[in-house]
Amino acid sequence: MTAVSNCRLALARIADRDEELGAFLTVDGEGALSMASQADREGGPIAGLTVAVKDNLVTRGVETTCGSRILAGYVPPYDAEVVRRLRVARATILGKTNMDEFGMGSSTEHSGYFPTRNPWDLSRSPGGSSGGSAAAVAAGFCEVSLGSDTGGSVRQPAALTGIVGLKPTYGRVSRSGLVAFASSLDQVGILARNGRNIAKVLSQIAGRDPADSTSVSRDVPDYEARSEPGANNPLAGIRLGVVAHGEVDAAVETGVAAGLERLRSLGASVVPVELPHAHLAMAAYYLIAPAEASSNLARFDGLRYGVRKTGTDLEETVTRSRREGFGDEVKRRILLGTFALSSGYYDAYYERAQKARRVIADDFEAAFASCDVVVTPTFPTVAFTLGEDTAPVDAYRADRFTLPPSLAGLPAISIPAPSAGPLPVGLQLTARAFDEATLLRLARAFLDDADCRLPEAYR
Amino acid sequence: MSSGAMMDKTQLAALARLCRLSLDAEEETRLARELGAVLEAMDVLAASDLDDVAPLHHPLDAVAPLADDRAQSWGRFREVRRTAPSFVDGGFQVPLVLGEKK
Repeated sequence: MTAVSNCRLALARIADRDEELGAFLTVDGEGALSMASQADREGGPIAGLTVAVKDNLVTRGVETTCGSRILAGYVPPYDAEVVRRLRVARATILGKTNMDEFGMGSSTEHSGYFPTRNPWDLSRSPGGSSGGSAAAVAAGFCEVSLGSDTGGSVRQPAALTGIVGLKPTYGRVSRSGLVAFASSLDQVGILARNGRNIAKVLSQIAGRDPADSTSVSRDVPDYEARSEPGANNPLAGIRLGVVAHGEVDAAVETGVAAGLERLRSLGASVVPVELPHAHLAMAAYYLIAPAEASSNLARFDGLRYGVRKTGTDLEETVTRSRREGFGDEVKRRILLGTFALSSGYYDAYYERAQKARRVIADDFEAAFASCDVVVTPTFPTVAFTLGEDTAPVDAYRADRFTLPPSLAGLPAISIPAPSAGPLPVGLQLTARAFDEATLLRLARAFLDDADCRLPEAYR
Repeated sequence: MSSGAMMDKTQLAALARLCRLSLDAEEETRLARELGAVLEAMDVLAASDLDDVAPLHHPLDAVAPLADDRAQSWGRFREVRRTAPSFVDGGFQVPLVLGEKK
């Protein structure tokens, strides 16, 4: 199949089915076909691979809103570095996907536009904040999507939609052009229905970028070759460290147990490990991330770009623009972050959260003395119903599995565990810094190097 | 502030001013309750033995290198102008900073 015909097929599928799903905010058919034509003419490492891009990655000439009304109509003058690298590699970028506003949320219900639905059950959330990216892949609209993961926003939607989602090591992939939420936590992540495509894309987008001083100068391996599972006992020698995970949904409990059994059957060994300070992760994250966000989102003031709501003077203009442009979750986190950084509270809250971060990172280092990969559920429940009236603090608590690897800057992947029920369950694997190859090898072996299944309604 | 069930509304209003958000009465009541509950969950940090721990600001405990100090032309000013709410005579036009309110 040519890149152009692959692209046309994808665009037709989106036109036919995305109205019910709401995965995309912008579909760039013309741009996609142009890229596909170029891919057919010139070839490339991932020529013609259909990709959707989360709407907090800037795309030159294509509207980028971060799921926020404050950026309605904003057309960036440049590409994010990862987008530029995808273009160079001749991928076909189909459009921009829906998300919780500025990455803040775990359901995509905090999008300023509309919620995305879960292709496994349209009454349920696909998770968030990369819900649109996950739904697009899970429904077979595209082969790969890019998301962003600050506290779980690639892994959790991957888990709730039954696909694979990787958060690389902090610094592995450039954040230049990723609209900043929390600069010490954000990473561009990759979602797909198989590990091989994630490996291929990671090889293209990873690596040092002078425009992002936190991107590391470290060789980028051929992840596809390095993660080749091999035929017999493909996971022999890999030690899985299992952490006691406390109370989770029955379906998650069953799925995780079945997933571990599957990994054992492929040759991995299992040892118990502990993360004694994991219970501090929620408090640490929900002080550090909002604090950084309160600084990063100060730039959205209606003055140089984005939506302006004019007041009688400058201050009123800024305040009105932010009041009317930001949604509730963003306001909540900006206020929380401002509190954490304010005089009299900085040491007791923000600084103390960074200390908790240190001991959480140390826990992983200690665990890796006896294992290669730490295993937990990705999320404590299956996909939840849209519109549930959950108190913010309870929603934050549900991130307890994805937050520790984020705080420690470690690579982590969610793979779809065997599910006894109708809804997907995710298994999270966390590796040492820069050991994405092991995670991808585990994912590929686990899935027999094949695609995750599509929901029946999208086959 | 000791964490209780509600954040003090005067404090909330001061925070809102700092981050240039204005809140109506309903928002103030709701946010005072929500933020109070979140901050209560943060008490676990105060109760933990962290006093002698060094904070971890960069997840890999690294120092990001500085870029070369080189002037470069970006060349996309026209596109930047197009995205501005108001652009006049080479500058972003904004309401008065100082002076009488109109």
